[in-house]
Amino acid sequence: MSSAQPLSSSGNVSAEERAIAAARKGDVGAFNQLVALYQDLAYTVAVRLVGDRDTANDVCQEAFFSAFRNLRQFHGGSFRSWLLRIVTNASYDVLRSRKRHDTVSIDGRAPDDSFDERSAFGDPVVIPDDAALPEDLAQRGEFFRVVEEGLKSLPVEQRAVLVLYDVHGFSYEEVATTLGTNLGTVKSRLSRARGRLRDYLVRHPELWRAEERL
Amino acid sequence: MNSQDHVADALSEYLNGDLPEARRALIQEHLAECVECRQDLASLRFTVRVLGQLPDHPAPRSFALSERQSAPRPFALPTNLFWLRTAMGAVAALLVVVLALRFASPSRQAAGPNGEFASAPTSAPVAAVARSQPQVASGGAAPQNSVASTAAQPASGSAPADGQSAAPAAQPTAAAAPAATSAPAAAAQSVASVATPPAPTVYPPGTTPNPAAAQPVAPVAATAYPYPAPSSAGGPTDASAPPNATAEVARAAPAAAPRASDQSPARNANAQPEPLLQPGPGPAWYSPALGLLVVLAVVSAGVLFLLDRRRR
Repeated sequence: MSSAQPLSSSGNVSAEERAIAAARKGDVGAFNQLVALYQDLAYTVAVRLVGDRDTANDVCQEAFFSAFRNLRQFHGGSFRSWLLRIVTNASYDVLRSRKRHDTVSIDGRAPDDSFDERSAFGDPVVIPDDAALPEDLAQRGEFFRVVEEGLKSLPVEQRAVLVLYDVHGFSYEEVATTLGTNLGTVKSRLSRARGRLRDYLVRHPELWRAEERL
Repeated sequence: MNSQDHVADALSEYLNGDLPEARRALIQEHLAECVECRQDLASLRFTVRVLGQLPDHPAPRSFALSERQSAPRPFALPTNLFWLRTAMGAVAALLVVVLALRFASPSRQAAGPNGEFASAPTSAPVAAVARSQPQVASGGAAPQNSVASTAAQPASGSAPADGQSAAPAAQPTAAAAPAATSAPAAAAQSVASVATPPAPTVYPPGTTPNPAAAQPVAPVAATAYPYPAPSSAGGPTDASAPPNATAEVARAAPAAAPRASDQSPARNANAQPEPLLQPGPGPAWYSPALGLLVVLAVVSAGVLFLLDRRRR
């Protein structure tokens, strides 16, 4: 198979399957096609799991090495899930190692549940149904930075489910396969993760109350 | 968990459209009446919308592998140490179990793996050895004693009447005299030799010491027995022995044969009680299993430590 033809992520499954088959035989060019297809996704997931770009860079490099060496253990199904499982496992290893040497907990900084921000009139702050993101790009960038910080505050298991399901659009089954767990656990962690991130965003009303910043 | 919490937990699935139709209808009915749950749902919906719009982080460089990088490594360090740690935990748990079994269940005397008695000596073998040793020490003396006594009787009984027969009878008598004098000495030697308990004799289970071997020495055995007779504190030659002790020894002589063949429960009663349980060496697999587990634990810990240091 020619390794010059890039693979697309638009569902060209047969081309991807051919690349996988060739890579299993040791074709590095075919494997690099798969790398080009999934490296942005792998890097994004790694950044959101480990929390910093340099560590995510190392995690991805090691994950692709491991994927090429262990390609014979891929027996079909979603290559994306299989690859991201390697990425998440490598990220977990880094976080566990970091936990042994740092004081920062990998379980995230639990939000203060007793915190109850209220408006100037004493009413509890809620996010209205028609709340919108800032239109200004700079403000939008600041908003996303706050959301990323909110993701870091979650326990890593909940964070992984939220990132895969809500950020990258994985199905329940794909999330379960990627994380090596069952559907019930995925749904439970997803529910808790959404609630905790929502509580985090409530503490930053200045970001989504666009109508109040005029 | 109250009904409010229950609905809050279900809002995430409600948002995804994953609920069965009946349950979804119930929640819609609740939402129509509950302001807080509607606010919760709105905030969750906004959160999910925001997450869906988060931008990706483009890879800072290409992670494509070079030919050199794709070459097989002669030794690859494992990236996931989870299984190594799990194996270490299993080895440690097995070690604890084996140690607990080793020290919590002492072996019994009769339950040795090869059927032998591996415990401290008891009185029965010692008594048997005591009986056999006098036989060995004075095996010649005892028959000589009987010969001497037998020869002496005709000699003493017929000497005045028959001088001719007395002369040949005197020869065995004279020959028996040194033997007779040597017999007590031999008996004393045997007493001394059995004064210190001999090494235990190992008897296969179900066998008993040969009673016939003890019969000829029954009179001597009564004197050579390491444990004193209940009514006597001295040896057989103790002139100051009380009369009842002497009578007991005299009774022991003609009744020696059946008595020696007896397993002597009275003697066993005087003997030290056998310990019921003795810590034995344990089953044969204990020590090798312990050693193997210790080695595995040490090696695993060392490998894990080195790999962890290299990964830092």
